[in-house]
Amino acid sequence: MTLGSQIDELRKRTHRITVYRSGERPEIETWLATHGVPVASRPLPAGGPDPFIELETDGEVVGIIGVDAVEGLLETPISRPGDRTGVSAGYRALFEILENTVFSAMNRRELLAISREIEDRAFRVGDGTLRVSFQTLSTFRSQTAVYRTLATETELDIHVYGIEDWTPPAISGVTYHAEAAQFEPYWALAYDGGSDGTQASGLVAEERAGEYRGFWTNDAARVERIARALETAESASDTAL
Amino acid sequence: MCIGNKYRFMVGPEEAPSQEDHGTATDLPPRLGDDQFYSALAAAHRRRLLYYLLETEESTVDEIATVLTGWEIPPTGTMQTPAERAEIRLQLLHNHLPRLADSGLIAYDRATGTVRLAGLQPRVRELIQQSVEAEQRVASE
Repeated sequence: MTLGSQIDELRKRTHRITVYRSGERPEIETWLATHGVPVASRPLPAGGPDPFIELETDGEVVGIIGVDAVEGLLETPISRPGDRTGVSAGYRALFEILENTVFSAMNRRELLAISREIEDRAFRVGDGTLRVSFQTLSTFRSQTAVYRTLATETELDIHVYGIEDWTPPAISGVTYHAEAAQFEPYWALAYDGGSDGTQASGLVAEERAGEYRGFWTNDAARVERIARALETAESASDTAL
Repeated sequence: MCIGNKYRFMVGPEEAPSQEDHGTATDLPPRLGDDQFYSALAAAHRRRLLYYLLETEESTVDEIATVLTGWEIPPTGTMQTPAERAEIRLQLLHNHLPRLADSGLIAYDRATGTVRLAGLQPRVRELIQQSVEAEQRVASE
């Protein structure tokens, strides 16, 4: 299953988010509306509960969470794996409840925030396999320090995919795969959870006209499919640097 | 500051619920002397449900279940699960809605799941409002 068809499969799901609020439209409502998720709002009495959102997937309620807890979506990327200061609990909660939802119009900063969450899980578990595709190896350039930390401070087996438009430094524990053009539009990560399967997580985003469309997931089976899609190309072209 | 006669009943500097505050001591609704009314109000979920209906007038069982669940989100922001909502929905169907309908405070259509607030006198509305707002104040202290 290619990365693109994995996005298409999830696009068939219907998500619906309802914001219950008494005051102004919160930031998260705007964010969701501009990222391709149907969002509605319902009035709350002013003396009632604090604003909250309800998420439904395929007609079933998946969760109800306070707006305060989820504000600042994708705006507080972890600066270094393992450094969780400044990451709100709401961000973690959102990662849980909005998984397997296809968002449109995402930007690199947002993808980076999601990527950090996955890298951080890999760092904390400290073993297993992490596969990442940042489209081109030159995009990886700004991530070199992060990945040096990941590779040297853990037992992780790291594979980096991308078009070879820059020669990355050799880092023990990191294997580069300069692939054919098939990965060019894809920003993808797959971490298998190593010795803790509950920490499996992944991301697939496809670039179209400067914007990204894709999803993140905590589902081990989906993560494995992302990993396999990356791996397949690896054995096909076999141009490891 | 006084625009039109909307503020006619304002007596203090506080914002009074002026539109509803035109009852006098002589037209107390009979409901306020009725045991069934107080027993209908004797549960936080039911008071909150009525309070919510004061805002929307009409709602559905599903929506009310969501609102009551959202109302219980702890200050830590933990997510409320579908199971917690299902439990509240069950209590609505088997306890709260039939009770409120019996006491004449709401009209509840079981077939469609529609819940509508009955016509309530301003004093009754006020009492419902105050009971919930007092509870919110205690909770936030």
